[in-house]
Amino acid sequence: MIELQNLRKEYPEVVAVNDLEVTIPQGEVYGLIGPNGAGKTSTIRMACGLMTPTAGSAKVCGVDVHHQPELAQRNIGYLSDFFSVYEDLKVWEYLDYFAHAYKMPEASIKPRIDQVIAQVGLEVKHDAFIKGLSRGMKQRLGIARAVIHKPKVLLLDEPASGLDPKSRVDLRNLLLSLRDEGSTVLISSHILSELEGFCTSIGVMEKGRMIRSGRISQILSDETKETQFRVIRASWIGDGNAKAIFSALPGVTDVLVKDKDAAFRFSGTDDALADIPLLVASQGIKLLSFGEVKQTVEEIYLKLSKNEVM
Amino acid sequence: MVSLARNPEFVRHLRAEMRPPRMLLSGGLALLICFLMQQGHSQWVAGAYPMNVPNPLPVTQTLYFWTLCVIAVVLPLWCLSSCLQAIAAERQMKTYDFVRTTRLNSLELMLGYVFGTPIMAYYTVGLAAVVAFFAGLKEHVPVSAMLLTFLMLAVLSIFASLLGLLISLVVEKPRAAGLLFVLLFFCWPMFALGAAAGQSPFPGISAFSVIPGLLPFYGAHDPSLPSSAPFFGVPTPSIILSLLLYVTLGAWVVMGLLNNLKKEREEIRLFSNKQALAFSIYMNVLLVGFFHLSPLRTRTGYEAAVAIFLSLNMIAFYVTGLVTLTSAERLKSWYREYKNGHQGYLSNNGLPWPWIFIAGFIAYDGFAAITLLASDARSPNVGFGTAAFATLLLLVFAVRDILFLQWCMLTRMKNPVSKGIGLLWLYYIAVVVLSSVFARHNYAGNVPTGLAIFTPAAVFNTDKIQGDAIFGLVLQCLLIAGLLLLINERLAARPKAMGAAAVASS
Repeated sequence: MIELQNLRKEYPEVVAVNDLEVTIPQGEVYGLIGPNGAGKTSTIRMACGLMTPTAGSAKVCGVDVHHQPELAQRNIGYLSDFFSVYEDLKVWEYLDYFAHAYKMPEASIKPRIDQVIAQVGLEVKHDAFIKGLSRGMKQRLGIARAVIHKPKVLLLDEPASGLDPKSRVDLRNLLLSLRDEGSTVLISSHILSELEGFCTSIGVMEKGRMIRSGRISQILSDETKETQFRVIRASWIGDGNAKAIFSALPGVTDVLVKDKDAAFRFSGTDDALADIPLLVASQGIKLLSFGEVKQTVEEIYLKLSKNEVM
Repeated sequence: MVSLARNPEFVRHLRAEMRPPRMLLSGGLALLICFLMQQGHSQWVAGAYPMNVPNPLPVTQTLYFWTLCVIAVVLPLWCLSSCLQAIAAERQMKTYDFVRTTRLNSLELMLGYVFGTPIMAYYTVGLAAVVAFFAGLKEHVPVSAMLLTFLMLAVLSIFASLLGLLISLVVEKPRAAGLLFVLLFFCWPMFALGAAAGQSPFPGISAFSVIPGLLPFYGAHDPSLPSSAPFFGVPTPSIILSLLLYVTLGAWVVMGLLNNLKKEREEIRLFSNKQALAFSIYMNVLLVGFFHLSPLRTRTGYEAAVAIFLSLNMIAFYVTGLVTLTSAERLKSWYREYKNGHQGYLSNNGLPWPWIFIAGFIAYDGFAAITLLASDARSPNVGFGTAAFATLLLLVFAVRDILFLQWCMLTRMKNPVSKGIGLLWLYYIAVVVLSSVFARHNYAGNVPTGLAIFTPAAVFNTDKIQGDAIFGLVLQCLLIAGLLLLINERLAARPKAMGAAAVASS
């Protein structure tokens, strides 16, 4: 659905995007993460045809964005971080402008405008002038604009920047519904919690390079294999010397204890892990909770960005 | 392509600008001004002609004429000012990116902007034009003359809109567009003064002013404003030449817009190298077509023609150079490909200087053509050899300056072209001032030494080739070699892979 092949962008003194190779299949929600200046915005701008690459190509639904821009735009919806809207238009006029600019069939425009306005929760503002809308409403209108022509691919560059918490939740729900409808989404963000539980894949960019890309589950699994241990957290009741008890268990290292909570590294099989509650219970410690700490996107990113993996 | 009435960009402006309250207010204001003019005019006529006037008033004393004068000033300037802001303002608001990602092509966008942005100007001035038309009918002004005048006004306004849009596309901020508007505002009277060119060796240039072409339709004749001018020796009505000039120049502006409307600002390049050369050919063909020496078939007439021809070609060289400047990114990419043998030196993304030299050959051909046409009147000092030297001298200075701008583009300078042009202006002003201060001896007919060495001023001294000018030519060639070395050094440097936030966010 989105194919970036050897994508490169150079400026006089820097290489902003360095021979990027990414393929995002249909229905995937791909989170592009990295610090400011990693090249995320340049990548998205090249993917939607706003910026010409120095080398390489960007294809959306099999169409080269730079060789057949008007054909490619049919399938692309784009939203950037900070933007303005035409304040002197009404909400429906704004969407009507873009529906016509995307050359949608005339008969489908009005129902689609109503549908999209309802989807972003702006029904009561249908005939209102945009200049009277709040920042969050304008952002929602921006999302409505990006999806008015039912694009197969959505390219979102820091879409939640400047939004209040409520609008962020609304945005997240809207994007989830688009994901469920089968849209492919490429979303960039440096607020990693935004992407948690929403993206199916991630790509970590640093200094213009993609340092890791793939499905989140695969990256987590790879991480566990490479690091050779799992992090386990436990809490208990009882008066035993928990640190000594946990440290004596096979496969357990680096035990940290605070009050009645402990965290430790475990290197061993699943069977050995399942035996731990029984072993500590025999030493007078009754476990209230016991489980593996799943890594978050944020943790993966922090780990990768320190070049631990490379 | 969608029709104008359904063009989304046009409809957007129509909706935003033409809200009923605003239409009522602007229309009412326009009609009120017309009414006040009518009242003032009636009183003036009553005072000037106390008795009933048996014959129609001379056209310059009619209400039609005065209303038309106001329209002629307001409409093109309004169109120019609104289009000057169009894209620069959208780019600043970050709405233009969304327009660029729609399926509208460059032509549709251009039509939408050109006719949509000044829609309020067309509406209010349109109302005043209706008043002027009926006043004209009442005052027995020929209908054909009125319609032709309105047609020419429309042509001028569309040209002003196109020009404004092109400037808006190129400048970074609306403020810069505003400054350019002030500049163009003060240049506007020059279009009227252009009529004075009717007495020059290129009388067709006077058609930049539409006034001489329109006067005969009102039955007025002014010997200082010729109503026709020779075009390739054929007497052609000035109104036709005006149309020819504005339509063809407008076509070049349209080409620049179509090439770039959907591009990122940093990637804008008005013409390709071949288009830039075509522009050079167009300009020289036009000049040769306009060349006519009969009223002044003398040496001085020919020498004036040479001076005008060289000045206009100097502009053509700089235009060719400026529009063929390559962005640092493209130039570096070309340099790698060139070193690998995948691209030639004359590639579209290469250095601009070879193309300026080709434009020089075209200019020399034009020079030769007017020299042949003026064979019986030309000065014995201006032959084909002098023409070649003059063209070469102009070329070398143009190449030096354009290469300097190209080098600026390879540095970290922000807005390198405008800053580079500013530095070049400073250089030329400094040379002129210092040459004036230190010029002790000015031999008859000679250009001061400083000017002859450091500027192309010596080309206008057609009596003889100055030794200073030859020294200047050699010096500039050395500077060009130095600039080429500096450019090569920059191109060979490898960019670092590092954060791109600053560049991407810009």
